[in-house]
Amino acid sequence: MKTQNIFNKINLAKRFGEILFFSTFWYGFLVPETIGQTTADSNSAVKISRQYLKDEKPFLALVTMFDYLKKNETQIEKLKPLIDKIITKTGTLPLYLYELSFLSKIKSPAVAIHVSQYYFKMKDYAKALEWTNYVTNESSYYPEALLVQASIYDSQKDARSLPTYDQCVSTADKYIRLMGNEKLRRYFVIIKEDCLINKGRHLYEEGKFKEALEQYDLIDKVSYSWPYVLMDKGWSHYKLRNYNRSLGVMMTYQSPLLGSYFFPEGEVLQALSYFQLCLYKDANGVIDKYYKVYGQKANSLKDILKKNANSDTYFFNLVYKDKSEIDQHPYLSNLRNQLKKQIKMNIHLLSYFKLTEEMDAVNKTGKGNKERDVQALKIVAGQMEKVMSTHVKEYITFFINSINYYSFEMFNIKLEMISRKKDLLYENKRFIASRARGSFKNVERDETEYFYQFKGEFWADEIGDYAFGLESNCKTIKAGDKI
Amino acid sequence: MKLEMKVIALFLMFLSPSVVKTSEEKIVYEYKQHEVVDLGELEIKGDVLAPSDLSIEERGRKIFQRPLFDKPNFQQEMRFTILNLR
Repeated sequence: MKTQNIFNKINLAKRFGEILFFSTFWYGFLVPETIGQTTADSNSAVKISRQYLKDEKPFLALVTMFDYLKKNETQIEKLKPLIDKIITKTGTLPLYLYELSFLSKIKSPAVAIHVSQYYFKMKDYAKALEWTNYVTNESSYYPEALLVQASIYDSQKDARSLPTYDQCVSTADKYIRLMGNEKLRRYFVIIKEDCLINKGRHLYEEGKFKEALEQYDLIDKVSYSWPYVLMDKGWSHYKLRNYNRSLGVMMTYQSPLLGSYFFPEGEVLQALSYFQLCLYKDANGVIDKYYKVYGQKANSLKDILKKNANSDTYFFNLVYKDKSEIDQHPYLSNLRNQLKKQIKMNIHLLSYFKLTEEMDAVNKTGKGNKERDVQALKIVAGQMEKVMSTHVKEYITFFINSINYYSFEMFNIKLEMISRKKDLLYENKRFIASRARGSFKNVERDETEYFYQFKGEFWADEIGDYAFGLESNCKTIKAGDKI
Repeated sequence: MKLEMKVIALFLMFLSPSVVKTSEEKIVYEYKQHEVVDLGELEIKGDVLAPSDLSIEERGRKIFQRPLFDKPNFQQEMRFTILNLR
């Protein structure tokens, strides 16, 4: 019965989670059919496309090329290297503008990585796996393809997942060493870290919590992924019954450095850790704070969503415009920071910046079909904005839904505490102390961990390695007895 | 022979109780209307003793616990990692 309930909850969590990302992945909502019609009717379209690429106008090169290929499918195989060269410049965001039936005919690595992720989102793992195989090991998309493959194996409990994660780490490492461009290097670092983290999660599911922690510790503290790893670390310590360490890890989110990160699940983990130590007053404090702070956040964000439900620009501007030009709502600015650190948003924004640059260039120096080119780029830009805007909306919705979901879990913990207190009363017993105080002797640590007292200051070298020193208060004595 | 059989049958008919009994006896049942039992006077032989007061034998109580939030795996987060790529 208990297991059943847990699965129900997971399914519930999945349900609200799945709202996210689904609708951003839709194809062909407005294929710019008119673009390049005058040029793409003959083989000269390929020449024009090449010229656009040479002139640093990859978006025009892409729309010209794809318009041509739609009518000349037999040429696809021959032009695959050129297609990939163009997409490397534009990013995969413009591919959202084309139908899946058309993209499925282009089995080049850049298109394949995009299509494989479409099938992954649709949970068609067999097809997703098939499409990752079109990403060859010479392609720079290969580490990402390995990450997708390993995740598919993981979801299917296939033993190949762990070696594939290892392969992903070593391949990404190779690119990290090779890359001179900082942004590209960062992309491979994130892919590598995603593989390390997912490997840790795999070990966690197998009950190897210590080994999972060793994986999480491989993530650099200055990395974008690190704040998210804290959640995983906290749960591993919790499963090892090291509730003090779990509380300490969660306390890291209080540091000013991580001010923009807030995880409702982290609050539940804190309340549960206090609950396991029978420190009901502390657990109650966390729960009350949750309802006060997060309830307000959820309502406030809900209002913003309602008010701007029909606006596409509002949510796009949240991630695109400068901080001073957007809504100054504190919760929104926190969400914006989180969103902008996502690999997806980074790639999409970069793609959009390039498009605006291209538009400016065409406006300034464009010749011949200048008006048509600008018009074409405007259509592409409009659709790209819509894709990003939908993603932002979904992220906010996901956040609100998760607050509500964990609110139910908090209520459950509260009810259980009331029930336990009632039992103590009936048994004429009480806990040994009204509130246990911290002590160094309660801190579990290994020989590599040093001990410094926390005095309200978050030091960079200590951050994330905190542990509480609380004693378990679960021992009971008769109500009238003195300690 | 036939005549003999008829005589025997007639004889047996006269012997049946419904025929023999001419009138039913009237039976009157009387119930005891009141009886006093002095429990204190009762003596029970053997080792079984009557309980002196109300008592409940102590036994371990079943503890019911609500299924609290658990994290058996990170499958959802692992999926989101991929969904966040492109």
